[in-house]
Amino acid sequence: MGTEFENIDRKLPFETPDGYFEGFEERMMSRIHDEEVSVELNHIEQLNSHRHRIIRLAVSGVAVAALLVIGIYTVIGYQNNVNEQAEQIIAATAEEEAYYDEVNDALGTREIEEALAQLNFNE
Amino acid sequence: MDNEIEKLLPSLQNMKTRERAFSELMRLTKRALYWHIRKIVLVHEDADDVLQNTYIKVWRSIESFKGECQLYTWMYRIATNESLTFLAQQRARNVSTPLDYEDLMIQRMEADSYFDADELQQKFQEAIMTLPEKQRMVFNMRYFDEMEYKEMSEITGTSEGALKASYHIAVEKIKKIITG
Repeated sequence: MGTEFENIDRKLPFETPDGYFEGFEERMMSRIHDEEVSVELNHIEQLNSHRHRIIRLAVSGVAVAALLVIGIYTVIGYQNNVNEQAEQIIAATAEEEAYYDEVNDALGTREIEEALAQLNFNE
Repeated sequence: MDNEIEKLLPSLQNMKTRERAFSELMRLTKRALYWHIRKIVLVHEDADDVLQNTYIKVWRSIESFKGECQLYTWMYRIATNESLTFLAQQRARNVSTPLDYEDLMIQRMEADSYFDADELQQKFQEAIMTLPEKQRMVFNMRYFDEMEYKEMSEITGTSEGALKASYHIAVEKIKKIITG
């Protein structure tokens, strides 16, 4: 059963083109140089694309920071304004209250005097 | 030859002498690596592509080669992985064809102008093609290259026992196909 198998020529039925192995080293070294150049170019391209991305990010970052600063100043300004207005209102209210107190005081004194005068007259 | 290859390692890892040493390395190994790859991918053009990719990988990684195994074994391993990756990519590209992948490979092999076999050899190659890729590789390394199981084990990362079993099964399958 194994006879046919044992009789098979161990030589591979494959061939190569004439002179394939001649000058293979030179061809291969030239391909390696090409590959290295292309790897280097890719590297430079990647670096450039990264640089563009970094610049874009930096510009965006500055813009966002500027907007943030403007926003903070606006909020602080608004708060100061509100505080000032509140103080003015409080001051005005206090002044008004003081005036009313004075008037009331004056009115109260006059009423007492009148009541006393009335009492004196009745007597 | 192994010794000559190992001696090249210091020159290969030195930038100044690297190119010259690499040319020498290719001179010493190109035939063995080519035939190892050719037996896996079958067609000359494919073997040429895979061999070139193998050397490019060796060139790029030689600096970091730590010498855990012999340089020659390491290169064989790279060639094996490159060949199997090539076959996997080819298989993925041919998913849509109605033919079985093995039939397609046989067709391509027989159409290759650098395939020259008599009837028995053709039948033999077709029988080899029915083996799973790794088993086919083991069969080729043992049958055609008469490689030691120890060396095969270092290249494939499989135990010697498993390789022996795989080779035995492969031989039985091939015998069965050839004798019909």
